[in-house]
Amino acid sequence: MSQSINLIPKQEIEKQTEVKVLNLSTIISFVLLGIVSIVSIYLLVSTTGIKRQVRTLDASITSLRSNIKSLSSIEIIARNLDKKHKVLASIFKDRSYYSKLMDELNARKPGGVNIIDLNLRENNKLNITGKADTYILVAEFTNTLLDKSFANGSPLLKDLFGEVTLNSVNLENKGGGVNFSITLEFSAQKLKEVL
Amino acid sequence: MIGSNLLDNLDEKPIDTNSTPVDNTSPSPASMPVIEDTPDIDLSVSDKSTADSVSTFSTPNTVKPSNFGSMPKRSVQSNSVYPAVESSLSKGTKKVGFSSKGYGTNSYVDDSKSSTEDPLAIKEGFKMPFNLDVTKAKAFALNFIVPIVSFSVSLLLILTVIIPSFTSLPDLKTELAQKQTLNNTLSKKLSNLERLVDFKKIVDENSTLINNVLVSEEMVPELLSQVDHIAKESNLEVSRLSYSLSQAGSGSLGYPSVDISLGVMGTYDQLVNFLKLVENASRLIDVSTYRYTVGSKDTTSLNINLVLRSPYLFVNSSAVTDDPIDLDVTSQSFLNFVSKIQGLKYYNPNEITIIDTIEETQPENVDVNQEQTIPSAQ
Repeated sequence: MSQSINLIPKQEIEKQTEVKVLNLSTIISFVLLGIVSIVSIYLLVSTTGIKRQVRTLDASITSLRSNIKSLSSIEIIARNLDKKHKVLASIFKDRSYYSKLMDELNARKPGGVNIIDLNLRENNKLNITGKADTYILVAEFTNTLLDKSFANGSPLLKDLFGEVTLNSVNLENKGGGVNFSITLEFSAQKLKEVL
Repeated sequence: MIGSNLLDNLDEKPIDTNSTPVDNTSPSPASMPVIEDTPDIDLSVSDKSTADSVSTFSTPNTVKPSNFGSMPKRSVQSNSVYPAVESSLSKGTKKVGFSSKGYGTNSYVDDSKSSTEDPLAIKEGFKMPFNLDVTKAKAFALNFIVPIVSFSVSLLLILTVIIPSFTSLPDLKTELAQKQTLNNTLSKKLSNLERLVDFKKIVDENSTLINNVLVSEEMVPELLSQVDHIAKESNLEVSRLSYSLSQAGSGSLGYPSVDISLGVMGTYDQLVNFLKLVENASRLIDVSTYRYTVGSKDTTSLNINLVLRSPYLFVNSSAVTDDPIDLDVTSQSFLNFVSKIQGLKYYNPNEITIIDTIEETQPENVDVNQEQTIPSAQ
């Protein structure tokens, strides 16, 4: 049976191990120190640079504020003007021009149809009560309101009326004619004016 | 040197000195003797003086020369990394047992006991891992002074630079971003203000124009006079005129308004004309609702009820240095806006008869479907 014996003294082995540990720890510590130093320098440079930028900006802001304060009178005028401008712009944006509605309605109303009562409601609906000579005229009136290719109306308002509901049609015994009642939906968007 | 003593003792032993010396700093395993089928060798120290000198590196003088034949003879020199440390430590009463390698503090020699104490006991004492010894610790610290200092500096940098910087860096970046934003805002604002100063005359004109459209106060008599004037201009006969105050709009764009309930008589065309004039009046008047019915006698004559709404807004801005100004009097949208309000017809209150006999009504009374009995302004 063969057996190997290492005759290097134990103390020598320990010392060699110690040397290795010393070398390794020295290398590791230097590497760590290097990394930490680099990171520290980077962070120091970064923070110093940022602080310097902040100081520069502070100086600039102070100067700008001083200049702006000297123009406070024009600033107040501008703010007042801007506030009213914004409110007015929003009002104009939502404003409906009902004269267009009346013109378009009149243009699409056949002769022989008289509107007795017209009520503009707030939910973009018109209640119309009228009198026509015949049933056919009532039908023609409702069809014309929805006719997108109607020639005599405004081209911009061809889609103005969306839905017509015929509520009632009654033949009038005395004097002839037909009484009718319709509900007409219209697009308020078409009545707005783009600035 | 303790290590030197050891080597001196070794020289006295019958060791084959003809063996080739090897580099004692890195002995090669290949150069080590390999003994086959050799019984256990007693490596204990029989020579007391040797054991006293070096407790851990025990060289048996009972080892047969044949077994030691391949052991290299060591040259007497110190390879210590820190020879200064070695020499200084050896001067104390508690000696650090450096070997010829010169590293470490593995051996501990107490002069007062070394002559009587069993080397094995010393050896066992050395192996105690928690045997606190100031000299040993000092020696360890001095041997590892470079890594220890390096680690310490690293730790110091981490604690004093890296961690504080990492902690403060996000805040600094945020602060920098905020300052940059503020600086940009102020720069833009100053630029806008300087431009407004250049266009101050235009700004004043525009302010006057806009104040005519959106007045700062109710100015009810002037408003009612304007409505009456427009109705007459449209050849409508005013039968009723009343007003109430209300609130319109929402949020920051909210505004108070004067609601007017108007009853007039006229034809369809006159009504349409009235609507057009109202829509083009300089003081803003919106038509909320309206209703008309054909008169009982004349089918062309209509009884018309309208609800009109005229907003007003009092603004009293103050100069807030850090807040931006969005107004750009040279922008196309603003120019279009100004162009539109320039096209509105202005009814000068000083040139029309002021109506001052109209009483204010409650807002709920303003209804086009209700018959009003308030007399006309006329």
